[in-house]
Amino acid sequence: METTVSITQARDNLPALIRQVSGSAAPIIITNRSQPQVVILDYETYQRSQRLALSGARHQLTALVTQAQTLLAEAREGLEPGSVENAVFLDTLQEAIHQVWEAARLLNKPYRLLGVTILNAVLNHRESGQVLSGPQAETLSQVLSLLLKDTLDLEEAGQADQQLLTAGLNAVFPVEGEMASSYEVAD
Amino acid sequence: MTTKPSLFLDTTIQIERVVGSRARQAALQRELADYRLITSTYVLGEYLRTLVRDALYLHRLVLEQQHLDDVATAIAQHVNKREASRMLLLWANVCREGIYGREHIADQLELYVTGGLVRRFTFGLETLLDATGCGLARERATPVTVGGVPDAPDHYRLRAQCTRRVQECALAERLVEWQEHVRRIGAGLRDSEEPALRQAATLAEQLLADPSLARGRNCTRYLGDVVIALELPPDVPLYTTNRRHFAPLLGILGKQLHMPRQHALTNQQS
Repeated sequence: METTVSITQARDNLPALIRQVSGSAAPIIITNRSQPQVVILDYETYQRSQRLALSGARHQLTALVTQAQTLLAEAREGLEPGSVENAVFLDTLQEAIHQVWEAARLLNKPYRLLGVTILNAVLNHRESGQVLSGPQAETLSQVLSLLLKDTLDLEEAGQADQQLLTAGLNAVFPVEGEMASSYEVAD
Repeated sequence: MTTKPSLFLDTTIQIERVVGSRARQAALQRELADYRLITSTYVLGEYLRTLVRDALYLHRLVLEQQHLDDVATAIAQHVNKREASRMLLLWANVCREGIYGREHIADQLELYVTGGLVRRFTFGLETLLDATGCGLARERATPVTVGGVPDAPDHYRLRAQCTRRVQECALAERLVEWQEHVRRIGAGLRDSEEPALRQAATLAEQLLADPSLARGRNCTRYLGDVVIALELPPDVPLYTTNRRHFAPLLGILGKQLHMPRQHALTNQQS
């Protein structure tokens, strides 16, 4: 059963509250101006909830990556650049990759950055109005697989960015405007 | 089998190659495919302290401001107006239609800062010259920590200012080797109509007496174009958008400025 205390009560009784929480699964919620703000949780309970959240996120990520890869594998041949069919396909793909990024954000930084790399590459490609070629779809699918690895480091996420770039899928957006002229004289 | 000719890319072309408009990037890609691409660590240093640092500052603003609307206000209030105008362009770019809110913008800028922009700088390059041994070019954005503990989540820093107190490059030594060229720049640009070039000429004359003056603020603020012109290999043309500064500089040194195909056509017609 959780306990709720105000900031003032927590400040005055912190050692007792910590003793109360230690070894117990019940948390203490600290309120600020009657609004819940912070939770004091037994460390083992906290770790267990983190593991559960991580496992849930991985499970969700696996399902979403598989869904996006299926979409890429089923990409129809013969779509015309600028056509409605192409726009619909890229919209669907973008939404699927958006969900992948949202799930990847629940893991650590390399997953989050790889997720946004893939999302931006798809968004950028969609804006260009071009058709996603077979090799590009294949590269996207390979890069998506990296999100299923148990561990991922920033170096691998960076290599995936390079791999997408080589396939003509760029995660950096173009700037519409006279960008270079504003850099001509260093300050 | 024919060997492709070499082309040296300066900071402005590197920036256009990475974040130029879609049409400009496509045109550059077509044009550069005919060349072996060269640039230098000095150019990389300039790129880091401009585009990458602008992205880093913008990233910090996004994390710090309560509302996204306040980011543009904070940029407009930035002390350095030149940096502010560059950041507004970058802000308009990242805050585009189709973006999924604040987290997406923050992640996107973090990707730019933590290597995305540097990877694009080196993409397709054959050679990275290191005549000046620029120490700032070796710097990368690192998480801000206090006593080894992250100071604020996902905040980064990038050391981008050269200081005279610490020698971390070989620019002064190179200037001694390039003395004759430095002398020609000093004499040739003394009466230039372009204030930045006149200033560079004055500094060039001072450098003959004390090459160590090249380090620090002088290096990053006044000498950028001069250093690039000096380090440019004699047989390799320079590709830049800043013809106003580089045409006179390279003319004095007997080096070549790359003439893009469409410019060449325009000039022939005029």
